[in-house]
Amino acid sequence: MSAKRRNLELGNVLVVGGCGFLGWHIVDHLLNFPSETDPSSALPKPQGDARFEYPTLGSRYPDYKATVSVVDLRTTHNRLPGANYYDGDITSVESMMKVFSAVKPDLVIHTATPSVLDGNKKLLHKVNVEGTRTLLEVAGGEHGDWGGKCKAFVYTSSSSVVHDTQSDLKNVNEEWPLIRGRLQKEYYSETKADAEEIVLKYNRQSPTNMVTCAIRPAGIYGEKDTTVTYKILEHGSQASPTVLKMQLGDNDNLFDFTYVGNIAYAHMLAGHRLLATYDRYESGQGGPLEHERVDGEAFNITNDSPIYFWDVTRAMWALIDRIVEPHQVWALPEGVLEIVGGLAESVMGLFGKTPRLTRRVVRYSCMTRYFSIEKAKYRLAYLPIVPVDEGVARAVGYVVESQRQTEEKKAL
Amino acid sequence: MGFIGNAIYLAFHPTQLRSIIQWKVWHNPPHERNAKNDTETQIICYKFLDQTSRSFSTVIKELHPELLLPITVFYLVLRGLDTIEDDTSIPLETKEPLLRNFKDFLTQDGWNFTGNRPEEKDRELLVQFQNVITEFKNMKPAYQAIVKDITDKMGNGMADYCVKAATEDASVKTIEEYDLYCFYVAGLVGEGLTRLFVEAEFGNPALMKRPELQKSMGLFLQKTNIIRDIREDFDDERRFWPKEIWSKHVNEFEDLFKPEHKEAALNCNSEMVLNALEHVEECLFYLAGLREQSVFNFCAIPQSMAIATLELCFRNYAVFERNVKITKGDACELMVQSTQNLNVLCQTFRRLTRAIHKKNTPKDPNFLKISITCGKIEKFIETIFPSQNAEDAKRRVSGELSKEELEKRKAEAENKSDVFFLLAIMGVIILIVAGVMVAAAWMLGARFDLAWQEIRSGNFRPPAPKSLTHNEL
Repeated sequence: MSAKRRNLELGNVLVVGGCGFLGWHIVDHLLNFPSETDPSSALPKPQGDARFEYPTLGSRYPDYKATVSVVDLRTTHNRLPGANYYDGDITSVESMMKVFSAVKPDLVIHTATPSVLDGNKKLLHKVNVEGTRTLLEVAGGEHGDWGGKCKAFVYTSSSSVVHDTQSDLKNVNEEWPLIRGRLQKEYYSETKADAEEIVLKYNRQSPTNMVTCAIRPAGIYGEKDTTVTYKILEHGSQASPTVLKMQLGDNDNLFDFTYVGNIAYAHMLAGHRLLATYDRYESGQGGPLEHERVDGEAFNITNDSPIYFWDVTRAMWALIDRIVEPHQVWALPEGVLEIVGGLAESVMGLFGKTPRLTRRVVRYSCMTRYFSIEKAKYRLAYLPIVPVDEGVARAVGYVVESQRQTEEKKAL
Repeated sequence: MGFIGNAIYLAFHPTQLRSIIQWKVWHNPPHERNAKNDTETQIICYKFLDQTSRSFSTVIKELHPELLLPITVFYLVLRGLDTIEDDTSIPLETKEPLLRNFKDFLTQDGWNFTGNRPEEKDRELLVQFQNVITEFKNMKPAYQAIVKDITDKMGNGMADYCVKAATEDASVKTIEEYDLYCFYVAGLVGEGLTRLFVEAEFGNPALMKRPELQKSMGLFLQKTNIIRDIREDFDDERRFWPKEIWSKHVNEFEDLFKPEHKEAALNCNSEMVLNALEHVEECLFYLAGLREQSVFNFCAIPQSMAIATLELCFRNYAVFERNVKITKGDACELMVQSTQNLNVLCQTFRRLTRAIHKKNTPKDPNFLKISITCGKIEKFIETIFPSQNAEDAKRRVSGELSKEELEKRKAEAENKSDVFFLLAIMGVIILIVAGVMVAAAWMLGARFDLAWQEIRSGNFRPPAPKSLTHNEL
């Protein structure tokens, strides 16, 4: 198998936000999976349980050839051996210039963003919009020469940029418009859309003709995930058996959950294509054909297998031995829940609190939300490598074993 | 259930009865067989078709006249082959050459076979096989070549299997062997039929370039039968469930039928269903390539029956105890839905896929895999028949209205002006009538001036009649 694996040359890569959840996985890929070869950086994984057995990542993803540097606000955690780490702030030109003159990257992969759950509007705008602009301009050479030329820039956008957080989305592709302003109920998505637009407009506009593209992941989860897996398992382990049986909606709604490794892989494919496009332009050849273009384009990335929302939830719960069988399920209709959620919000609101059950939570559990990845399949030759079920085992296994280890330490 | 039993059942299941009535009353065959000009041998062929297959004869007989006879002959030839293979009383030395050479008998005038044991139910077909041969030779040479080629492949496949069964263990071990077995039994038929459809220009020629599609059509049907018939096959000492699958759940095949292994048996059953469901997308894709209504019906009916059967069998312990079957009413409903168009059929597939998903349990080791497969089927249907589009989404953002919405608005505006016009006319009429009445009253001496005065002084009601006090005399 390993003989057949394809090579992916990426040159000198700077991963911005490389100590975050997705960033860590991108670095792990670029370094050819020290998490699997180097015991010191191995991920916690339950032993002797067949449910958590799966093939290695290194045997399935490409063989990457790259020099890897990471810049993040704090680089003390989520480090991997083999990469160079730099502390830096993307909202500061000065700080970025320093990092760029030290690294001299060919390719920038920009994954840095505050958490979705962090509702701080000012911070979201500052990092996502202003930070991205600063980073782009520094990479494109607008703030002076840092001793090199960045050829390509891959931006981690979000599939939520085309979503108003209310409507159903069925097999939606990249032709859907960005949702902003009055229609956009989620400020995070608004800033991601602004940043994506800035990045894509910047394609071949910098003094150095840097090419750009954007990756739009949907429903990212995996090892080290602090959002989807964490929330589902938190509820699964704390809720009473009765609460666990409650299901918001009819569970016919399909939802995209995408394993983080597949998203990392898509970034590499995009970076690889961009570098080739850049060389093409530089050598004076004509640009790529319109239907094969990667530069200036956005790509949906999913596992290409949407799942019924509550099935993923119950699969995760089953892995922590909390099983809800179909005949035990108490399906609550969305219409009623909207009212209950609204009431809960207004009553709790009087005391300045937010209830567990809000209208937003209700809608999210009942909505259909999945995307078409035909464009990425065709133009990036992307295919999801790790299937959803394996991803679930990986994500849950990580949490289960981490918790066990923490408790063991406590006991000592 | 006899007639009375059926009547009572249907009396308590009105929706089932409704489906049966709907099918019987409203189904118009796309082509009706014209039996007037049939030759004697043709009549015999159709008689055998009725005798050997109840389920297939109806759909075959509604086929386009161009393919009616070729497919009837094709069916009878394969049935003849099957009758030789099934007959355990024929020794291998006789059976093997019969199976391998069967294709050559098709062109030997007057060939028939009387060597079947008397209890073989389709024995008579082979005894009078010369009639099938006569009709075979009347077919277009292109059709003859196709039927002959498939007979050749299938005869040899069966012969190989018989030899293997006699010399070594022929039970199905790997999933690959399972697929291969299903291919010989059903996949080859799909290949023959597809070639006939394309030859007759009733199918998209691209179907020939994607052989995996027709292969899936056959495999899906066969795998469904194998899942449904587990008990019957076990009682007849036949095993088609691959060891690669059942050995994950039980140690011995017999354990599947023991009550203490009920959970394991159910999980094994669901893994078998999962394996079959993986063909659904390709089946729907294949059906999209058919261009003629009767051919579509012919292919779609068995497919929708199959997914309904899978839904019925999924995690249903009864399949290990007895033979389960979809009800007559459900079958009629499925037939109605399978004889319209691909869109209607896809809705049926979606409904049944969701029903399977609703029975899926997290206890099952394949819980997520089944969920993923169901989701993929739904996503595939959404790609063939999209329910949303980017243009509408863009209009929503720009605040523009779609064509339909504009028309709706226009219609609403027109309605509004119509209503105003009517109200205005009514108002005018009321005014005229009131005017006439007032004028008439005035003519007759009504004193409006006094009435006006009274109203101004606040007397809105006529003065109360003075109460008559009745003084005693």
